[in-house]
Amino acid sequence: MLFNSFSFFVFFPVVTSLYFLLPHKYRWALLLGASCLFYMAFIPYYILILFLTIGIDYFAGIKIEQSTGSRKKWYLIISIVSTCLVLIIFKYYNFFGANIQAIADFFHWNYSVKLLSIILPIGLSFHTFQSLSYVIEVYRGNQKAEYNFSIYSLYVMFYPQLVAGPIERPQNLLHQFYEKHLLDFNRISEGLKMMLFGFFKKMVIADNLAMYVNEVYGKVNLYDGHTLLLATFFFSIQIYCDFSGYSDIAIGSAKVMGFKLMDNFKNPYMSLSIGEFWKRWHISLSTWFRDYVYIPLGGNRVSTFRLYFNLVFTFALSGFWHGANWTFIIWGLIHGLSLAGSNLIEKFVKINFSTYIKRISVLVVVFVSWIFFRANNLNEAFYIVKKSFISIFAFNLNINNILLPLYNYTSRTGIYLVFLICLTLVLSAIEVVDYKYGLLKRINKSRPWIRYAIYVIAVLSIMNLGVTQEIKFIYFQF
Amino acid sequence: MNNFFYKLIAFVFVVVLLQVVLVYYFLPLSPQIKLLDEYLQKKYQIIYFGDSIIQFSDEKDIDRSSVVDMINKINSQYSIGDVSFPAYDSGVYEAMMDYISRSKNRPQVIIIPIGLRSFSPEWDRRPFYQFEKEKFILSNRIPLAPYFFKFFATLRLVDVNPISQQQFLETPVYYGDDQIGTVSYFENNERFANITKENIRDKYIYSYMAPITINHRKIESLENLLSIANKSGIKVYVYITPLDYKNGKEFVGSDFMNQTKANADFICNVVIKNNVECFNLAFDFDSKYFSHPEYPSEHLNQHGRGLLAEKINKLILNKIDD
Repeated sequence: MLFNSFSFFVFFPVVTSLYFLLPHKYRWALLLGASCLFYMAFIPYYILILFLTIGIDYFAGIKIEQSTGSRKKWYLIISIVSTCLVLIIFKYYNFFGANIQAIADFFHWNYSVKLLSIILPIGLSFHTFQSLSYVIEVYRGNQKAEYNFSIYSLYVMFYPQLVAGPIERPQNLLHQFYEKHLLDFNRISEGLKMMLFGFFKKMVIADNLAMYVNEVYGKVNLYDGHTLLLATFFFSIQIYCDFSGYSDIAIGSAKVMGFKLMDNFKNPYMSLSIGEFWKRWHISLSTWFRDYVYIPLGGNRVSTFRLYFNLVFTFALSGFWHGANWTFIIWGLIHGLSLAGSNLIEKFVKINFSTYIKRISVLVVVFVSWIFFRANNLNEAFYIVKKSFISIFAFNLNINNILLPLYNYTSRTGIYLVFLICLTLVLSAIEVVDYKYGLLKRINKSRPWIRYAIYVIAVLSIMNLGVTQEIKFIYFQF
Repeated sequence: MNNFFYKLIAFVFVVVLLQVVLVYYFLPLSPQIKLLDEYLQKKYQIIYFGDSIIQFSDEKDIDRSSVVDMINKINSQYSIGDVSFPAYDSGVYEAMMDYISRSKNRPQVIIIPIGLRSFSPEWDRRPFYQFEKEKFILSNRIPLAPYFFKFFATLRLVDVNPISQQQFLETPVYYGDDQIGTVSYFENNERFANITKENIRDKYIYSYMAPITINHRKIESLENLLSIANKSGIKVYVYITPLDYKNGKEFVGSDFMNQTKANADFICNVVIKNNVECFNLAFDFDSKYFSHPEYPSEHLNQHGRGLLAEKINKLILNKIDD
C-alpha cells in the first residue's frame, strides 16, 4: 500500500482508531494484521518470503541466546547467510549472472547464465537489514532474544517502516510493542503535523519534479547538457523530498499511535562535509553500516591505509545495498572516496575554508553522485556527466530543449517549469528554517492564525498541486 | 479530547470551504463544462459537440471566426452553443449526452462532427486526450465531489490516466490488416522532423489507414450516446469531418481512398442504424481548404470553415423545423 493512495487515507485512521479502542493486550494482533494487509497490497504471496526470513531469524535469535562459543557464532552465521540468501536470489542473482556472462563472453567461453524473471519483493533490503540487526544485537548481548513470535514478526513488519525504513534497532523498537500507549492528543497532533509535511514534500514537491526527471533520464539522448543539468538538480531535490517525506509520514504515523521511530534525515543539504552529510542523510542506514560493517572491519582504530579502505569499502557496499547495478556501486564509491579525500585534505592542508565553500563542495559531490544513482546504466551516467560538464561553459540556452520534457504532460510548459523552480525554492526555505530553528518548533511558536494558515496551505497544496500519475516512493524499489 | 476534535472538525470545515472557493473562482474545473452549463441554463436550441477543427484558425486567415460563429452569421434563427474539446472523443461526448439528458433544459438538436483521424491510435490512445476529468465531473452525482477531483485523481481514486504513456507508445499501428509498427516509431522518430514525401506518406498511414471495426471503443461510445439521445428525445445529427483526401491520395495512393471511404461508410452505417442522420463530408473539400499541406490535418482555413458552415446550414439547420 502506498502512503500517497486513497487506501492509506482510509487504512490509517481506521487502524489508528481501532488501536486506541482495543484493550492493550489485543493491540499487537491489530498491528500485525494491519501490517500484513499493508504489505499484501503489493504482491500478496510475497508475504510468505517475509515470514520465511522472520521465522529463520526468530529461531536463530533464540538459539544464539541459548548457545555459547563457536555454536553461538555458527547460529549467527547461519542466520545471516540464510537471510542474505533471500536478498541475493531476489536482488543480486541477475546482477552477478549478467556480469559472469559478460566476462565469459569477453573471454569467448562457452558459458551461459540463465537470468531470473522475478519481481523484487518490496522493501526487501530494508526488512532484511532490520532482521540482521536483531540477530547481531542478540549475538552481541545488547538485546534479549524475543520469544513471542508475533511480537518479533511485528518488529520486522511494523507497517509504518516496513517498506522503506527507518531501519530500526531492536533495542529501540521491540520493547515499545509491550508498552501501553495512551491517547495523548498533543502527541497525535505532532504526529499528524509530521505526516502533513511528509505528504507535502512527497506529493507536491517530489512528484512534480519527478515528471521532469523521469522524462529526461528516460531518454537522455534527446536532451542538451543544460536540460540534463536541470534534471539532475531537480532529482537531487526530488529524492530528498521523496525519501524524507516518506520517513516523515512513517515516523509521524507511528508517533500518532505512540511509537517513537528514529530520525532518518536532518537537513542533509546543509552539511559542511561529506562526513556530516552521512550523519544527516538516511541516518538509519548509515548508522547500520557504521555499526555492523565499518566498526567490525576495524573502524578507525587501524592503519591509515586500512582506515581508508574500510571507508571506501563500506560506502561501496552501501551503494550495492541500494541496487544491483554498477551505477549504485559508483555512487557509493564517489561518497567513500570523497570522504577519504576530505579526511586527507583536512590532515595535510590547514586552510580554514568558509562555510559557503564547504557547503557548495558537498553539494557538488552529492549532485554528481546523484547522476550515477539515477541513470539507467553507466554509459548513460557518463554521457550525462560529460554533457552537463560541457554545458556549464556554454551559454547558449536552448529553451525549447529545456521545456521539451514537459510537452507530454502539459500544454503550459513554461509556466510549469517556473512552478517546478518555485518548488525548489519552497524546499530551500523550509530547509533553512528547519536547520536554524526546527520547522515544527518554529511553527508551534508562531501565532495561531499563522500556524493554521500554514497547515491549511499545506493541505490545499496537497489537494491541488499533486500529480495524477502514480509515482512510487523511490526507495520502495530497494 | 473534545478540544482536539473541535479543532479538527473546524480545520476540515475550513479546508473544504476554501477548496470549493479556490476551485470555483481560481481553478475552473473544465471550461467546456462551464460553457455547457451556461448553454443549458440559457436554453440554447442547438449544441455543437466540436473538436479542434471547429475552433482552429490559420495564421493567414483574415476572418478567424470559428465554424459555429460562421454558421451563426449565415443563419441567426437558432441559438447555437459550441462545446469544443481539443480532440474528438465519443467517450466524453457520451458523458455530455448523459448529462444533457438529465437536464430540464435540453436543447432541440445536437450536432456531432466525427473526425476519421480521431480513431487512429495517434489520437484515440494519446493519454493527453482521454478527458477523464470531464467524464468524472459530468457523470458524478455526489455534491461537491467535482471540487475535490484533483485530490481524488492524485490519490488514484479516479484514474485519469487509463492509458499510460508507455502503453500509448506500445500501441500497434495498422495499414489495413497489417501491423506496420507501434506508436513509438512514429512519435519518437527524429526522421519525422524533416518534411519529405516519404515522411508525409507515413504520417497519412499512421493517421488514417487502420480499419475501424465494431470493437473500436469510440464506436461503442458513439452507439451509447446515440442510444441516450434517442431515449431522451434529443435530435442528433452526425457528420464526418472533411479530410484532405487529395493529399492523402497523392502520397499514399488509391489505398487511401479505399480505406478512408470504408471507414467513413462504417461510421455512418452505425449512426444510421441508430436512427440518426449521418452526412459524409469526408471527401467534399479540396486541398486548398486545409491549413497544413505538409502533414495530415483536418484543420480548415477561413475558406474551408466558411464552406463547412454553409454545408451545415444547408444540410442540418434548414432541416430542423421539417
